[in-house]
Amino acid sequence: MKILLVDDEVDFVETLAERLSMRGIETDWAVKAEEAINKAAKSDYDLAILDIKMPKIGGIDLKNRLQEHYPDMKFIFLTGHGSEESFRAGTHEAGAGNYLLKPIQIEELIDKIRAALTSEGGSKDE
Amino acid sequence: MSDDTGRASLEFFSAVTATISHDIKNRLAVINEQAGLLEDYLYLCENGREMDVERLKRVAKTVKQNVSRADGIVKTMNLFAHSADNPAKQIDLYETLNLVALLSKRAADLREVSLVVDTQSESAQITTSLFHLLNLIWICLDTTIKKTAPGGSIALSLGKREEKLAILIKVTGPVGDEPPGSLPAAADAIADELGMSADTSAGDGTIVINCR
Repeated sequence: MKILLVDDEVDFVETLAERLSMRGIETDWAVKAEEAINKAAKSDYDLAILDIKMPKIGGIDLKNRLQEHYPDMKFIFLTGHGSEESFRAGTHEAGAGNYLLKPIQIEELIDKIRAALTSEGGSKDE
Repeated sequence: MSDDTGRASLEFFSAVTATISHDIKNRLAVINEQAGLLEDYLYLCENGREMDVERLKRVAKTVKQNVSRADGIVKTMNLFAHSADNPAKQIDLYETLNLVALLSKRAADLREVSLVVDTQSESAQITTSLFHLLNLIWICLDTTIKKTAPGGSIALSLGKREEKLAILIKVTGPVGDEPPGSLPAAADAIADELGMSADTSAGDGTIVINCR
């Protein structure tokens, strides 16, 4: 299992990637969408974890771009929205159904990663 | 207060508080990961692995930096909250510009636009409703941010227009594809309420708020 973690908060993304790697999940990270696209072209990722709000290209747009080239890649979104209600109202329809609110619990994230990778494609858009 | 001004006030309040809660959640998320990493390291140490002292120093530094940033966000929130304390009071326009720049920073960051409050601006005091003036400047700045190309810069300064004290919002870097247009109707409604005017009559897209 190899995943790509993308968030514009370097201290967050670097540390979370380190923690996932400690748990045996090979994790690369990027702080910009363009950097993520370049990394995806050079590596074979099973899943990408994307922050919704990033400069220039946000998580939803990035997902759409990655999905064009890597249709089997699964996605989980991270968001700093204050509540699930506000997040759902703004983004659920855009295809960000599989998400976690920050701050996250790593066990919950790992459960989501495993569920996304074992489900029959449901988490591509879910 | 007119319906337009009332609606604009609510939109302003909700946009600012949503942004602030988002910013605080991001700081908490960073601190939470540092705490989690410490737990992970402690677990490894308890199981015989040597402690990486340099990494731990970096964790402590990151926590301190993010606590400091969160403190700054809360201070800004507090200034914003107290802006509605009095219907009218004497305010410092330079401090007001700095506060609006802080309230708009996230929107500007997401568009990769930088905001610069002109430090050459002389301080000036006027008596008005701070909350509504913040709202007016915020709408004008938001309009400008949306029309500025990524990598661009926006200067907020104080000046004079026809002998009147004025707030100037000017793009100093690359301009976006969208031409400078008229301001949202809410800006006119709030300016009327404050006895001011706001327009883009400078010709180069600079928004001018004539204070008195």
